[in-house]
Parts: sequence; structure tokens; C-alpha cells
Amino acid sequence: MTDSPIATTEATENKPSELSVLLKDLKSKVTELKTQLKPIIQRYHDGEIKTSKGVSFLEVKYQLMVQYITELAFYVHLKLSGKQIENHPVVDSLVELRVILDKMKPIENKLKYQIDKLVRTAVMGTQKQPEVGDQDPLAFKPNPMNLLARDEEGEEEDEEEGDEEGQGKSGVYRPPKLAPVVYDENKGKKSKYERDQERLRERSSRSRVIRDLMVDMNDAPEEVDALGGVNEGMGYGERLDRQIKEKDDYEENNYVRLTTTRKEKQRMNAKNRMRFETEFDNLNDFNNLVGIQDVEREENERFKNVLNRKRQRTESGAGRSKKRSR
Amino acid sequence: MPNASRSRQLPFILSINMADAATVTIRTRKFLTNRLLQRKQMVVDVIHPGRATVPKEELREKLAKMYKSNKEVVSVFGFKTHFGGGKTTGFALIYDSVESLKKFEPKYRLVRIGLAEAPKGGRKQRKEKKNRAKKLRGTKKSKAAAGKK
Repeated sequence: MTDSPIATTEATENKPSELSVLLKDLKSKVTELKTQLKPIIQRYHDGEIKTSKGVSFLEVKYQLMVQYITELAFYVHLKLSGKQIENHPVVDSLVELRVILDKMKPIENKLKYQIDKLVRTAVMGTQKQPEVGDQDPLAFKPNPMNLLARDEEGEEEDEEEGDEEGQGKSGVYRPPKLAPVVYDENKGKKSKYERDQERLRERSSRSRVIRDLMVDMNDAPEEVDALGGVNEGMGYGERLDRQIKEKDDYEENNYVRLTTTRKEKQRMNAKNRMRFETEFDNLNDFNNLVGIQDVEREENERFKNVLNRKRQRTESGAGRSKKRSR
Repeated sequence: MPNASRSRQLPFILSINMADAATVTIRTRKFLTNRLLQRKQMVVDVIHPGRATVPKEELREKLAKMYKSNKEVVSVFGFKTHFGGGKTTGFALIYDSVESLKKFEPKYRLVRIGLAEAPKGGRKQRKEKKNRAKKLRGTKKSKAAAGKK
């Protein structure tokens, strides 16, 4: 009981000292600010700094932030002096400034790239960027001014060549040298292995096992359509169902109605409609899964390398038996 | 005798009223604003339990009310009823103005709405006329067409 008041008095003694330190700091900073602001205000009054063109976006931001900070300071002062805060105009203006600052954020995000670039060039001095082909893929932004310059040059060239040759342009076509781009030789070519893999992946995505797994793991709610689409299609079996669904999607996306061809009609009538799929229908499901192909290949590799393995075993077998004997 | 005929008519009228009283729900899907063709296009789902397929005129009115335009700029087509009845799916196009409707809609749909007239004469006549016009060139074609009429 007696300890706590002593502790609190010590704490309160420490706090005023800290507070006084902070207050001194504040005073010095305020005087510094005053000395710096005076010449600027003087210049403004003399008319050196022009404000006729309006205030730029970043300037507005600075002004708003300064105002916000001063108002915050005033707000804190009010709270310290214990005065009523409700219905004080400071709160309203604080809220207003806050809202404006928040609204400026997305615009700032859009300008971010340019501002960063400017700051970088300002910091690094006027270092010239290395040749265009090297780094900075963002240096290739579209520049319509380039087109203009080239048009003018083209006209001049035409006039010169017209004088010399009497024709419009020289016969050889020279492609314009724009920014160099990476040339990918194998863009369209896919190896047989890759194509096979893709096909297997597509097939496996259709298998019921994988689809049930996907539905299980997906966060989205399950969709079950009892009636299906306009074209009667449910319960015909996997392939036909898929075709009917594709037809429905095509119709809805292209705003047309397709007729059922004779073959389709025969298919639908032939395969008597099953409302519920039996267990034996999808026994070949695992055939569609991708992993099996790899397993097959791995097993075949084992058999392919049998000879090598036998040789290896005989070589190391002697060593091993020696170890065991020990 | 007249009384008997009247009494026979009455239930007929009543049944019509009852059918109209059944609620019709219209839902639109895949809504898209097509600025190139100056229209809004969508897939329309009509749910009409206990009632036959809703006629196109009624659907035009209801869609116009839903999308706050008038009936003249709405064009509906392709309505198919699902097996068992009660639900119908079709397409709707809502144009910005009657001019754009006349410009972009195919002839047969304009004829359905009543803004254009179907070409007269049967199919055979039309084809023969076209084949006769193939032998001529330029203004003679239109003259021949006028002459034939």
C-alpha cells in the first residue's frame, strides 16, 4: 500500500521531465520552422512564386497533410485542457480532411510509377539510361510522339529520293528498328511428350473421381441443377451429357437455337435414358487419370535397366558381403 | 336456349382469368451491354408454373417494365420450354431506340413485331424473280421489278 503511492509519485516525476524535454524539442523545431518559412512568405508576397496555374496534385497533398497535422495538434490540446470536444468544428474538418486524403490514395497509386521514376532520376542525378535493349522492360511504354517524328522523316526522305531516283521509295523493304524483343524459336512447337501430357490432363479433368475431388476441395457452394438445360440432357451418360451441356452453352452465348440433327436424335433415343448412374458405369474412371502414365513409364524403366542393375549388384555385392562378414 | 349457351361460356372465361392470375417470374442472366449494336442483350428465364408458355407480347411488356424502356424497343426470340413445363428459356434484346432496332434486327423479327412487311409471293415466286433479275444489270433490275408488279 505504501509502496504504490511512492512508485506513482516517481512515475509522475519522471513523466514531467520527459514532457519538458519534448516541449523544449517542440519549441526549437517551431522556431526553426519560422526562420525557414519567413523568406518563402516574403518571396510569395514579392510575386516570385506563381500560383496562377493552380495547385498540382502533390502540392494539394502536402497542404492537406500539414493542415491535418495542425488540426490534430489542436485537437490534442483541446483534450489536454479538458474542454468539450463534441460539436467542435475541428472534428468536422478533421473528418473532411481524412476523407479527402483517402480519396487521393487511388489516384496516387496510378501516378506511382511516374513519381517513382522521377524521384529515382532526381536521386541518381542525370545518369543516362544504358542502351534500350538492356534492362527495365518498362522503358518500352508506347510513345505516339515516335510515330510523328518518323512520318516527318519519311516525308523528307521521299523528297530527297524523289529528286535522285525519280521514284517514291527505294525498292528494298527495311523493317523499322523498334525496341528489340526476345525471339522465341519454340513458341508454337510442343514436343510429343508435352502434347500427350496435355491430352491426358484434359481427360483426367473429366473423370468423376477428379471432379468429385474438385467439388470437395472447392470453397464455392455446390451447384446441382435438377432439370438441366433446355436441350433435354441429364442422365444419358458422361459423353452425351457433356455434349448436351456444350450445346446449351453455345446456344446461350451466341443467341441462336440449334436444331437437333437426325444423328443426335437417334443417339438420344437409342441410349435409353438412365436417371441414376449405376456403380458399374464408371469402372474405367481410373483409366483417365494422368498419374498412371508416369507409373507405367517408371515401371518400364525398371525393367529396361535390369542388366545394368545386375552388373552393379555383382560389383558392389562383394563389398557388401565383406561388410556383413565383419 | 340462350341461357344455356351463356352458362357454357362462363367457365371458359373464368379459366382464362385463373390462368392469368398465376404468377410469372422473369429472371435475366448473362446480361451484356453491346455498345457496338446499341443494345442490351440477355438470356431470359421465365418461370410459369401451372400455365402454358407465356406469349412473346406479354414478355415484351414485362421486360420493358423491368428495364424501364418501352415495348417497341424490346425484341424477344428463341423461347424453349423445359421438359415438364413450368420453365422457359429464351433471349431478349433491348435496343436504345427504334431506329437502331430497325437498323440491326433481322427482317423476320421485324416482321414478327410488325415494323416491317414480309415480301409477298411465295418462295418459288421470289426465287424466279431473283433469277430473272440476274440477267439484267443496274437500274434495269429495279425497273423490271416495278414493271412486273
